[in-house]
Amino acid sequence: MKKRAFLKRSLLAVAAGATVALVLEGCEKSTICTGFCDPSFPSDAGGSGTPDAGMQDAGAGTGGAIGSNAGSAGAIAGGGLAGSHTGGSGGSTP
Amino acid sequence: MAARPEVTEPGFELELLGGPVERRYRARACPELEQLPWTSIRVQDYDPDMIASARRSWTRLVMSEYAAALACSAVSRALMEARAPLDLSALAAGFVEEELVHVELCARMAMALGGAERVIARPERLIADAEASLSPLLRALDLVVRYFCVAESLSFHVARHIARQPTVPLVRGVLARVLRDEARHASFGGWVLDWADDQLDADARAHLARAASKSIASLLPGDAPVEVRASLLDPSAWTRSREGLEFVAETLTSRIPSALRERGIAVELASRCDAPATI
Repeated sequence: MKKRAFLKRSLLAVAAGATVALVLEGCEKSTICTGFCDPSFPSDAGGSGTPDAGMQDAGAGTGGAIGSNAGSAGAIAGGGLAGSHTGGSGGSTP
Repeated sequence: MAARPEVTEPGFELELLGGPVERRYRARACPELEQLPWTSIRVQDYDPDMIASARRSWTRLVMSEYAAALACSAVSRALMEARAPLDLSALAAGFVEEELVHVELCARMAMALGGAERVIARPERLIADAEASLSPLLRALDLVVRYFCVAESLSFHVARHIARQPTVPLVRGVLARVLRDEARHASFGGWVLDWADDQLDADARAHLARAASKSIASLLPGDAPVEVRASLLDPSAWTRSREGLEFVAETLTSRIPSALRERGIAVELASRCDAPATI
């Protein structure tokens, strides 16, 4: 069977050692996921984070990286360059 | 609070298939992309915190652009289902490809800075279609209003400001391509509403106004500006400044509602804190 040869290669790869920094979950009522529907997933994060808009890196939160769960749970809304990242949550694993 | 299970899911990653597929994609969608100076940034010349912050921003832009591509795809299908004029549907279909080019641009920026941050995302859940109970026309317009009239319009206004920030040649080239496309995307929502104008009754307009209000509320920034350090590698940091936050809020509460009201969509603004309960 003939199979065409491609030169498959990585376009985007997670940096070595990177912890979870952002979780995008679906929202059934919004055009684009905002993450509001389950802000606590997946970390054991405390706090609600600070909402802000427009390509913000608020997802880092203030705690996190304790145990295996990094504080995170930011959210993304909108599209293109205006995608807004909302509410990082600090990790609180004892 | 009870501990939740560890996230074992790998982060979001992308690949190119290469060969003839890549050649056709590049020839049509982005022939100029390889001309950008992708190896011009020497990471070791910059402060590590600045690199980390820029990687974070570019990774999130990857996700934002990926969501944008999905949204354009949903709009394209919805317009065809609504039997919209062919040229209108075709434009939306072309936007999908343009947003995917933006994904590649942002991904290559993240990689040029050392790699992506770990994002957990399920593409099949990033975009929600309009309610199935709506008519095909209203489903299409619901998506168009939320995505193009609000999100893409905001995106264009923000991109124009970001493109004026001082930066390095590679980032300038990336932003120039994105801005070129976003200008057309921002106009698209108005074109669709103009086409549909004589097909909309009061109930339909009220539905679209509610949809726009919810989208606006979900995008409104919080009150507290973030400490921002100017970064040549991350001009989007401007949006975290007080000036940037005020600009985003003003665009969402003034420019965008005004443009919708001119087309008979009477948007009533909800406060930011109402957003989680209403979306």
